[in-house]
Order: sequence, then structure tokens, then C-alpha cells
Amino acid sequence: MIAPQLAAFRRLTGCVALALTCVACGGTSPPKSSFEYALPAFSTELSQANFEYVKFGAVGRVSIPAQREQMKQSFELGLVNEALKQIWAQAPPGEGMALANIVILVTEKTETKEAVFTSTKTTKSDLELIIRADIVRFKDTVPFKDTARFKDTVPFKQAAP
Amino acid sequence: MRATQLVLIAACLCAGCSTTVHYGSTVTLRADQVKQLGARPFKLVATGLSASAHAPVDDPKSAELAIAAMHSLVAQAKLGPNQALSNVSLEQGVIEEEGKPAVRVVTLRADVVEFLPEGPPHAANPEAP
Repeated sequence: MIAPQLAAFRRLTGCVALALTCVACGGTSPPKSSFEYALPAFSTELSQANFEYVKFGAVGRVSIPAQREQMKQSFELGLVNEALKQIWAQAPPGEGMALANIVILVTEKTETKEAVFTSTKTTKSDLELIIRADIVRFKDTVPFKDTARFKDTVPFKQAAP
Repeated sequence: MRATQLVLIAACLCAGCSTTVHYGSTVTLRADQVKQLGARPFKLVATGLSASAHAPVDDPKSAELAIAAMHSLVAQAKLGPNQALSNVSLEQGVIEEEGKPAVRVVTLRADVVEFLPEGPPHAANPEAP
């Protein structure tokens, strides 16, 4: 007579324990994050016979999800700075450098899953900020106006999916 | 028997599932550094240069076609001192096969100008006195 009641009690306590475990594990949602960034103006003028190319095809690339994780952990960002740092690291030492012929990419991967019994699901994720440039050196730096490293004019937004 | 049924059901489910991956990118082109073109002596070195890049949409390379095209354009222009790309334009498109995107294409075009040392006004113009 007692045995079935004991079994039912055990089943009940098991369910309660499972429910508590679920609440403990799933109750705390992971922190969400979003950030926005601006690229330099890259508005250096090429209008005089006073420059030469010192490097063609310098590329800097930074993982956007990695920057997001870094922000969560260290409360610091540096997406654009990291990409430009990689480009400037490819320039020879000297003064009066500027970037030209710049291509900026924010790559994205779109994954579409189609299943028989579920609706089609499309997920989009931004992967990398990639900047490509040629590096020029101005021989006469008096009229040289390198606003590329200081001005922010092109805003982009990055939000967590 | 039960295992066989499970295998059959799994096979049916898998046959009806498909995953498609497309790589793409948002492109910003900053090749507009040549300014005040008429204010300084210059000559046109080349016009109508063109460079293209293409890749299947499910290839990660298709997200970086604009960079590949610019690499190719600059290599083709053989830019020397005081030479710069001018009037650069970018076009991009997708070729479809059986109604689905298959290949992504990017093409850049440009002219090459060379700035000349400062001289008398309009020194680059052969008709000028």
C-alpha cells in the first residue's frame, strides 16, 4: 500500500528537482550586446605632383563577433582601430603617409535552413570588418591633409542577433 | 523492427531538409581622393580600365570580391608616383541558375591620371601658348 505512494512521491520530487534545475540553468539569460562604430573619413586629397605609393593592397580584417565578446568581458572596443593598425603595420617607417583606393567590407553569412515539418529559417550574421587600401607617401607634407585618422563620418551599427 | 522504422523516419526527414549558405558583404568604396582635377596640371594616363572578380555565392570568397577587384584594378593600372585612380565606379550583380543565386560578380572601372609639377597655368594643355 505504501510502495505506490512512495513511488509517486519520488516521481514528484524528481520532477520538482528537474524543474528547479531548468530554472537555475535557463533562468539567467546570457548578456546581450550591441555596438556601433564609425570609420575615418579617408578624405586625403590626391591633387598634386607630390606623392608616391609605398604599399599596394594592404588589408586589415577584424572579427565583429570577437569584438562583441571583448566588449562584454573588458568593456572596451577597438574594431576600426584594430583593422587600421593592421594596415599601418604594413607601411614602411616614415612620415606623411595616407591611404588611397580604399574598399571597406562588412561581410555577412546568410544561412537558410529548410525542413519538411518546420518553416524556413534564415539566419544572418556579420562576420568581419575588412579594410583594403594602398598606402601613399607625400613628399611635401605642408599641404598634406590627412584627416583619415581623426575624422569619423561614416557610422555603422552593429547589433547582436 | 523498431530500429528500422526509426532509420526510415530519419532518412525521410533528412531527405526533406536542406541548408543553403550564401556569403555576401556590404561594400563601401572610397576611391574619390582625386579632387580639384582642373585646378592642377595633370594628364590622363589611361581611361576605361576595368577589373572583375566572381565566385559562387556559397564560397566565402564571394564576400570579398570588391577587394579582389580593386587589387586587380590597381595591378592593371601600374600606378606610379603622382598617378591616381579617378572616376572609379563599382557594379555588382548575381547570376542565377534555376531561379536561385549561383555566382556573384563585381566589376570596377577607373581612369588613371598623373599630376604634373607646378608650371605656368594650363601647362598640361598642348594647345595653350
